[in-house]
Formats: sequence, structure tokens, C-alpha cells
Amino acid sequence: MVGIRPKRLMSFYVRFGVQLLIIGLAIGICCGCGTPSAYASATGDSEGLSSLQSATLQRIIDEAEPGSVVVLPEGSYSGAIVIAKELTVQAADNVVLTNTTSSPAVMIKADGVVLQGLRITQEYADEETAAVLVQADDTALTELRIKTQGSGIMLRDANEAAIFNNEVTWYRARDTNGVSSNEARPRGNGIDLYNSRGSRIERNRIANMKDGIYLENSSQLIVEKNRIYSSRYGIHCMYIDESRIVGNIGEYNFTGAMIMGVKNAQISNNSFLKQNRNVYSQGLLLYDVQTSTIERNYVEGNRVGIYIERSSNNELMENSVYRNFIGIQMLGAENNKLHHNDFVANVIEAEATNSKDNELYHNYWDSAQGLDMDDDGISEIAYAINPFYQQMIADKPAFMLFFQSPGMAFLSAMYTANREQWTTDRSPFMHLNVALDETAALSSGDVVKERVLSKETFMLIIACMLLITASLTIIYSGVIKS
Amino acid sequence: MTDLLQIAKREIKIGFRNPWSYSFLVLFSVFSLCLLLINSRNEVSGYSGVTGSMLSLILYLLPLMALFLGSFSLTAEKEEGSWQLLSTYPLGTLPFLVGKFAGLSIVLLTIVTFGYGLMGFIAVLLGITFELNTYLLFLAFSCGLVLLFLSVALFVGSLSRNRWQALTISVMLWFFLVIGWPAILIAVLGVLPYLWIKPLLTLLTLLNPAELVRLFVVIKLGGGSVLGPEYYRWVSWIREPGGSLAFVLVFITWIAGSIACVYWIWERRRSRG
Amino acid sequence: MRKSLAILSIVLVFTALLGCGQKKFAPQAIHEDVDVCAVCNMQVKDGAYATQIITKDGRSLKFDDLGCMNKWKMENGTDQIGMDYVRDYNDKSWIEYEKAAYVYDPSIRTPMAYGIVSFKDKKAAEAFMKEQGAGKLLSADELAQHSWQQSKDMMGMDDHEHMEESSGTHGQMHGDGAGEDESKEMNMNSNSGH
Repeated sequence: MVGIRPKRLMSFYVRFGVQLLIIGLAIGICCGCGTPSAYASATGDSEGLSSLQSATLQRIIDEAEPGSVVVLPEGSYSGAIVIAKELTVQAADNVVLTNTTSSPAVMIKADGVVLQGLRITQEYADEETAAVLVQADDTALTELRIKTQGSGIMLRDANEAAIFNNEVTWYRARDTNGVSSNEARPRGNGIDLYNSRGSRIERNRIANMKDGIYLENSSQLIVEKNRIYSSRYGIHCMYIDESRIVGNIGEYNFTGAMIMGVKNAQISNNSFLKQNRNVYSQGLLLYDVQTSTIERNYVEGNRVGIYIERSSNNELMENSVYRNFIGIQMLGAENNKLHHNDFVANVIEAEATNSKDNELYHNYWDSAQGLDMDDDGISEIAYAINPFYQQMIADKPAFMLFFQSPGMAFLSAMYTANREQWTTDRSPFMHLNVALDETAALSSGDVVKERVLSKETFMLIIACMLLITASLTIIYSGVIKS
Repeated sequence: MTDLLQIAKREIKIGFRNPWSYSFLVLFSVFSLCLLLINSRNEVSGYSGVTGSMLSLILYLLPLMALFLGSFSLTAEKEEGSWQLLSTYPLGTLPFLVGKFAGLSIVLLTIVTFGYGLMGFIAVLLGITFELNTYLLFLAFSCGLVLLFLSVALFVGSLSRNRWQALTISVMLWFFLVIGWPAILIAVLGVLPYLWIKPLLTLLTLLNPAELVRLFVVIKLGGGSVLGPEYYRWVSWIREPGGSLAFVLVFITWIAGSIACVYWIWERRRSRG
Repeated sequence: MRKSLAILSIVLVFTALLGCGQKKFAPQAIHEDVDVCAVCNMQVKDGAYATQIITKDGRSLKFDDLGCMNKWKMENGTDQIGMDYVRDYNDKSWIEYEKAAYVYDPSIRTPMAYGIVSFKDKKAAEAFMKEQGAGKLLSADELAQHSWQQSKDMMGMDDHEHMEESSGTHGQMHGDGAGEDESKEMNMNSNSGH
């Protein structure tokens, strides 16, 4: 069902292609002529100017034939506009739509609308005011650049939408004195779906929002190759069925992906990096997730790499969990399969409490003392997850201060109560399952590499200086007899 | 002041002729290199499994080193009778103690510096990615830890009569502060009402140099969020430059306080003969 | 050593005194940076849907939705609870759970979709229902019999769609344009964090 959408779009273009473009251009030129006169007539009265412009853009849309293509000429417009018929609205290079009203800058109320290339600035600071609000089916939003003080793109009861290559960022509101005042004005979500089936959200870039992509009460969604930075939750799913979340990248968010109340989802090839600033940060959180597949994700440098709670019958495989404070944390997660995952250089690799009947095998745990007697690459020593720390802090979070204190490691090692009930990997792998280069390539590593090189020489100089100073001190005062 | 310098110079000379110093130097270098090689595939930066285990190693080894070298140096003065000799001179107890402290710090810091220099050198040679900030933070952390435990060592040294006693107390104290600390606190604080736990734990942490320095480093490495919601404000505050300043203040107070205590003990001994 | 012991004993006495001072279980303020729901792990917004339990030993557990608090009570029992609080929908003041009036309707959007909001008195609840044109008034006792169904389960059902239309949650959709009143209403209905 989902796959049909772009094909239909394509054929649409093929059928009408040239003719429509010409019509569109003609309309565009007409409007281009019209706009300067509007400017001229309204100079000196900014109030009048904006309303005139708003009327202009709305008029262009109202006057266009249903099903036609409208190309907006370069210029600034002001919102809010409503598109209430099937229309393709394309923007020339530099079309800016600014909206200060409490209505969305663009509201789409008719099926089959295509909106492309517009720059939208939503200046009304309210969490629930969107830059683009879609309340119709078969909408395509592409290459929009949205700066908002509220939320970005909102879909309500809108099915089969295609949201591609957009950029959504939140920016700080400034009051009349120029002092930034964002605290009282909470940020909204980047892309917010509610009750919308079969939509595709691909290759969008979202930063500084509340939730980058918020999905509620929808099904059969495809969320692919989006990049989300510095938001609260990168991807936040609530009650979503049969969706695919593939190849997304999240960095510096509170939590990379918050997957809650989800069934039959596929979550694969995502990268969630450096979500560690908040005391409840996670790379990937699964809460109440059933019968889903979580594979080949790369989680690095998070507070908790993968967090699973109250979830069952899922399969987690070939995930790379690197350098997190806690690699994987399981609470009340039952009947899941975890296999062929790599856990490398995490401060604590795994924590598990109340998690029965999980099947763990062939994972690679770098701190485990493996012993491979028959040379098949599988350790004969099982790897058991010690629940001591997690049990202790569950009642008394104040003891989190002892996280990985040397004495704590000692204490955990002595704790062996009910060992047979611990979550255990019976046959851990001796070697990495997934080659890292493949997954690491997802994150932009080129810039970092260059910097490391120059730092290396610097490091060498410092190390040599330290070494020489220490040696000289020793020789001078210890060896030479005065 | 000249007395102080004389004592410090003498201490450095004795320190570097002490075979104990060299055995610790070798031990520290070997262990840190091993750790580096084991984790050679991973880059060393931020708070991760690699830096976490390095932190633990340092917390095991350096306090013990400082305690032994520091307390032995003081008991040696008593055992060999050089203090009896020195106290016949017009030498103040404070210059003597501060001189001792200064001399021993230089010995210990040299050992630490040598270890880190070697570690950094080998890391660069082997092409291991070792983030400079992390490296310098670890160096500073180790130096701080050594100095704090040196002041504890002077305390131990002044309380014990001979080397054996100093050894026993040192090991006991080390075990209590480094290994047994969470176990004891969990047991004791666990029976107290919930609301007391956090303030008491905070206070007791200030009294334990090992925990104090460890937490500071964890936070500075960016791992503060792992300490949970209870310490959120602390953590975000220590992350700021103001936090470092406060840490330096606590550090100085700690050392000054314990030297004052040691001074008091020595003065009492001296006046009693 | 002696010095530290002295300090320790002083602090012990001090905290003991402090501890005796707070016998009643006062609700704690919400810090959005560090407070997450004790059940579902979502950030607790400092808004009308937040609820909290103060346990008998003085620990504060916060929840992002009344339904999550209910889930906690089902799993942990009510023996440990010193006092439980909900918030008034309009002025966000803390009210004791027993004394509040509740309105349930599947079309009310709350963070975990349990669809229940709380009010400090019946009058305010009734005013809300009148405004919405939907909802069922419940007391704390009646909540015990409530099914606690999340509105996700209603998804796709026809009667749900009708409910939504009549309640005007998505008022904009059915109106002629973006009327000032309507958009205001929408903002209010679906305000703060999900």
C-alpha cells in the first residue's frame, strides 16, 4: 500500500509534465508581476503589507485550478494560508513564508496536495501551533525548510502522506527587548503524526525540537534515514503497529528512540550516539514493545545503550553496543531473543532484573572471560548478568553514587544469590559479530579523524615532556651523589 | 622557610633511594601499560569501559602507594631516631611536617608522571587513540589522589610507632576507603530512614578522598548522568568551571586540615617528650 | 578521625530534627529535567496530567498520567503510600487523589492515552464536560471500578471516531476555517506534553 504512493506521484508528473509546468510558470510570472505592485501600494504600513501579501498568496492558491501546478515566484509572503483543493505548490529558490498568527502557516485540507521547497518561519510561539498542518490524505511535503517557535509538521487523521527531505528546526523566541525567553514557551514536535496510517517520513533533518518525530495511534509507517539532533526524544512512538524505523541517526538527544506500545515493528540500521546528558538518557528505549525485530542498530556513548522494559517476544540481533555507561538494561522483559549482538567497552555491560525466559546466545561480551576449548568460536563459559546493582538502586536511588566504584565491583562479584535465575548467555561468542566499519560509517567520522592526527603529535610532545621531567628528577636526586 | 626546604630536599633524596619507590614505579607502569594494550582496539576518551577500568586500577594502586611511602617515611624518622635528633635543633614542627609533605609529594608525583609519560608515549607509538583531554584529566586526577592520600599517610605515620604498625593501619585504611566503602555504607545507611540516606552519603563522600576524586573524574569525563536523578544538581554544577574551583578548594581544605591534625599530634608528642 | 566523627554526629542530630519536622506528606515540585514517570519512563511534564505518590518513607514517585499511577498501585499495592496527588486541570494545583473529581472520555488526549483528567471539584469537572460536550464524571471511588482502557485499543472503531468529532478535539478539521475560538479550543484540549 505504501509503495504505491511515489509511483503514483511519478506517473502524475509524467502525464501532465510539460504542460502543467508551462501553466504554472505562466501563473507564477503573473503573480511575480502582481507582487511588486502590492509592495508599492502598501509601503510604510507593515500591517497592511502583511495582510496584503497573505491575501496574495491565498488568492494565488484560491484562483488556481484544482489539480494544477502552482510555482511561487521568489519573494516573502506572510501566512496563514489554507490549501483546500488538490494542488501542487512548488516554490522557486527563495520563497519565504512568515506566519505570526496562531493558525498554522500552511493548512492542508484537501487530498492529494503537494507542497515543495517552501521556507516557512512560524513565529507564533506555541507548542501546539504547527508550521504545516495536514488534515487530508495523500499529501506530499518535500524539501520544506521550517523554522518554528512552535512545532513543525503536524498530521491529524491524514493517511498515506509522504514527508521527504524537509528540515525542521526550533529557534529561540525573542521578546521586544531582544532578550531570549524560551523557558515559558515550550518547544513542539518536529513531525507529529496522530491517527495517520501508511505515511512515509524519509531523509528529514530535525534539530532542537521536543520530539523529533512523534508518532501516535498510527500504523504501517515508514521512518527512514532521518537525522535528529538535540531534541528531547529523537523518534517517539506511541501505539504504533507494523511500522519500519530504519537507518535513522540520532545524536545528543535525551533519548534516541522512545518506542512505546508498539507491535510488529522493524527497527534496524539506526545509529543512536551520545545520548548521555540527562539522568534518564538512553540510546534506544523499548517499553511495552511486542513481537518486533530490532537488528543491526549501532548505539554508542549513551547513558544506557538499549533499555528494554515490559516487552516480550522481540528479537534483538546483530546490534553493536559500544562505549555506553550501561550497555543493555532489562526490566521485566520476558521471552525475548538476544543473539549475535556485540557489547564492547561499556562501563557496565548489562543489567537485568525480573526478566525471565529470555533466550540469549552467541553475543559478544568483551569483558567476559571466554574459554573456547573446541575452537568453534563459541565460549564454553556462560555469561551471567549480575543483577545486584540494579536491585540495590531500585529501592534506594541515592546509592547510584556507587556506580562502578571499585568497592562496588568487589561487592557485586561476591553476590551470587539465585544465580541460576540470572539472565544468562549460555554460549557467548569469542569474536565480534558485526564488523564495526560498516556501522560506524553511518556517523560522520571524517572530520574527527583529521583532528585526532594533529592531536596525536601534541600528545606525543606532552608525554615525552612528562617522561623526561620524571626521569631527570629521578636521576638528579636519586642517582647522582652530591 | 630554609628549614622547610632543607627537609624537603632531604626527603626527596631519601625518597629516590628507597627501593619501595621504584617497585611502585614499575608496578604502576606495567599495570597501566597492560590495561592500555588490552583495550588497544578501543579509543580512550570520555567515560567508557576503558576509562572506567583505568579509573579502578588507579584507585586500587595509587592510594596504597601513597599510604605506604608516606607513613613509612614518618615512622622511619621515629625508628631511626632522626626525629629525636632533629627536635634538639631549633626546628619547628610545622616546617618539618610541611617539608616532609612537599618532599614526598615530589617523589610520588614523579612516579605518577613517569607512568603517564610512558603510557602516553606508548599509546602514540602504537597508534591508540587517546583523547588528550582524557589523558590530562587522568594525570591531574592521579596527582590529586596521591596528594590526598599522602596527607592521610602522614596521619597514619604519626599515629603508629613503627613500620609494621604503619603497614597494618595503611592496609586497613585502604581497604576501608577503597574496597569496603560501598559495602559498609550500604549496610549502615540501609537501615536509616530513606530521607537521611542522600545527605549522609553526600557528607561521607566528602570525607573519603578516594570517592571524592573518583566522582569528580566521572563527572568531568561526562559520565555524571549515571549517578542518577538524586545528584543531578551537584553534577551539573561540578561540570561547570565553578565546580572545578570548588573541588580545588575542597582539596586544599582537606590537605590543610589533615596536616593541621598531624601537627597537633606531633606537637603533643613533642611537648610530652 | 575524631573531628569527622564529631561532624558526623552533629549532622545526624540535625537530620533527625529535620526528619521529625516533616511528618505530613507534602507534594514535591516537578523538575522536568530529572523527573520521569516511575512506570513508563517518559518525562513528566509540569502540567495538568502529572500525578505523584509520596511513600511513607518520604520518597516521591512521579507519573506522567493518572493511568500510570494506577498501574503502579496495582503492582505495588497501596501499603507504602503516604499520600497520593493529582493535579487540577485548570490551575495545576496538587489535590489529594481521594478528593478530586475525574472526567473520562476516550477522546481526551493524555500522555499515555488513558483519557482521564482531574479537577479540584465537581463543578469544574462539569464545566469541562459541558465545554467538551463529552465525558463521564467519576469520583475517586468510582475510578476503582474503571476499566483503565487506553484509547489506542479503540483505534479504528467507529464509535471512537464519532466521539472525537463530537468532542471537538479536532475542531479545526470540521470548522469552516481557522476561527480564533476554535483554534484556542484545540490548543487547550491537547495542551502540554505527550
